[in-house]
Amino acid sequence: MSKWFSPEILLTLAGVGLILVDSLAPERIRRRIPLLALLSSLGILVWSLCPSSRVLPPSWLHLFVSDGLSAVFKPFFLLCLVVVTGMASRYRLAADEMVRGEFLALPFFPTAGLCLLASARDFLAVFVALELVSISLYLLAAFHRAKPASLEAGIKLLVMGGLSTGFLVMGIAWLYAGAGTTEFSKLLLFQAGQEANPAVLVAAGLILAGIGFKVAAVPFHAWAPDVYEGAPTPVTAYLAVASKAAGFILLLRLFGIGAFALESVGVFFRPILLTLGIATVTLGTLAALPQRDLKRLLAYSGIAHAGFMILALGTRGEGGIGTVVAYLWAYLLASLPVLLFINELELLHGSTDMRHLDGMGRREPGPSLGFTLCLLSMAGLPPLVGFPVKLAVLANLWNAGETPALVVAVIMAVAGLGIYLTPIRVMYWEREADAIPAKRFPPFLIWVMLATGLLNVWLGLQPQILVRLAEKSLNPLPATEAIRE
Amino acid sequence: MILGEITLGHYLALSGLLFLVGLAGVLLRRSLLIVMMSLELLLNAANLALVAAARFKGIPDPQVAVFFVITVAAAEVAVGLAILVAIFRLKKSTSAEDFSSLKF
Repeated sequence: MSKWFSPEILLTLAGVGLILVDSLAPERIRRRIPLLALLSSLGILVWSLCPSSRVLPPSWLHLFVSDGLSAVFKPFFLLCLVVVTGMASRYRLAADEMVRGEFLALPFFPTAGLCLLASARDFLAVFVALELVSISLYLLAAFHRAKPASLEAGIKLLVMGGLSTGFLVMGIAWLYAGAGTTEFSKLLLFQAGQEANPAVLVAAGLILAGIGFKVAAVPFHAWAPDVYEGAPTPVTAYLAVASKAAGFILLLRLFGIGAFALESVGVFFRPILLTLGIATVTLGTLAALPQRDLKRLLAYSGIAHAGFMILALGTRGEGGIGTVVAYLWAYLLASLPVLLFINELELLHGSTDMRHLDGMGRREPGPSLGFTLCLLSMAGLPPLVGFPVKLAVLANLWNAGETPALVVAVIMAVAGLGIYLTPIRVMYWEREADAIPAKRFPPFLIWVMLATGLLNVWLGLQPQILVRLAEKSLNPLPATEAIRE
Repeated sequence: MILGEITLGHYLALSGLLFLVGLAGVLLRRSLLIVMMSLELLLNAANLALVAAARFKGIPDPQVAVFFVITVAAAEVAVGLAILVAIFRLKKSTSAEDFSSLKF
């Protein structure tokens, strides 16, 4: 029975249900939609942690697989959904105008797509799942229709997303032309033990370019800062965490453990990944340093983080895969609270410029402390959770003997401190602006920010929890078979 | 015949050429409508390669993939045109040059 209630099906039902409630129910119930959305996303998150939610319907099994990677990442995406729903229910289009129900219902659909993507084992499934994510996100990015920046973000995301789709579909076509299949396991069989097929190499290159757009790797990064800045902040959070992780799941499945990781193909692509990683880390870090807008700063910092993860993937062996999984979780735990804080800041001040942080440390000590801890975690300072994962990337590069990449990564990790110390300096050392807003942060923010800040510290002191998560994600045994036996 | 027999390679070359035309259109053209047309061209180039692969490899799967691609392209255009209409209402223009409020 439970196999008909996979998180994907529940997410779609919840999304459709919310839209129906929004358009049909009386006003009294419609005002409760934020609560309904939050509760249903929380419920699906809890359900996705139960082992029985991982059993897939039998008819899905030739397109989807339920293995360690999908078991680790479905809760990841659902956690993003919960936080984004919470942020979206606080978001206001104008001073007193509440967002309409669609804004809360729409994030359920890309999350369903991401959960499907996490367990896809065929490029056709990957393609459809990715489009479900992208098309919903175009709508969400352009949701604030009265704001030119939001529309601009929507159209930029659409053009770049369309380009990424084009590369991906072309890659799929070349895979058919070369190997005659797009199923990951059959590709692996086709490619195993023989010279790299040229058509498969072209396909891998095209697919890598398509994924490069998704994770905002240099040279496909140009859209990210504009879209992050223009989109409503809850959507920025979704793009920065969930959508970026989607690209990395594909990279893990293909270039980490799949057909493109085989020695015959990998020998071409590991240097490419390392070069991409070096370029991405360098550009992301250096461009983030002078930013004054917090969302733009996070966009460039996200590019730098993507670069670190690509560097980890560019090294040989399974160490890189576990590192990326742990890095993504650490990134989620640090950046979602930061974005939550920025969302509240925007609600108070109407913009996300860094000058609003002036004197924040004295005015709002609780949220500021949590914000500082999360920023320091993103910077990779001990004892926060960002430190062990960044160290793991460097250790991977050291073990693989990639000295140039290691040197660049170390320099950029140190230079990156400047990105995150700037807002902290503004909060604690800058004099307060003349006009101090009368409005204060809501009380819940104090507890949420302090709790997540402490969570970052605690996980930084207990990195074995992330190690266990990474080991779990490497478990290739499909959970479906395991439960059926 | 000068070209001899038409092979899968010919089709792939043609689709690659169409892909490049589409790519150039997306990167170089200023009008957002033409950019969206170029995006369609990218996907249709891929469709041509898929159909050719189905024919020459004797497998039906790529033809199914074409249907997925067409459907997704239609959905993308629907959303894209909706955003474009909203932009036109706000700015009375659909040229990319009028969208530079977000700059470094």
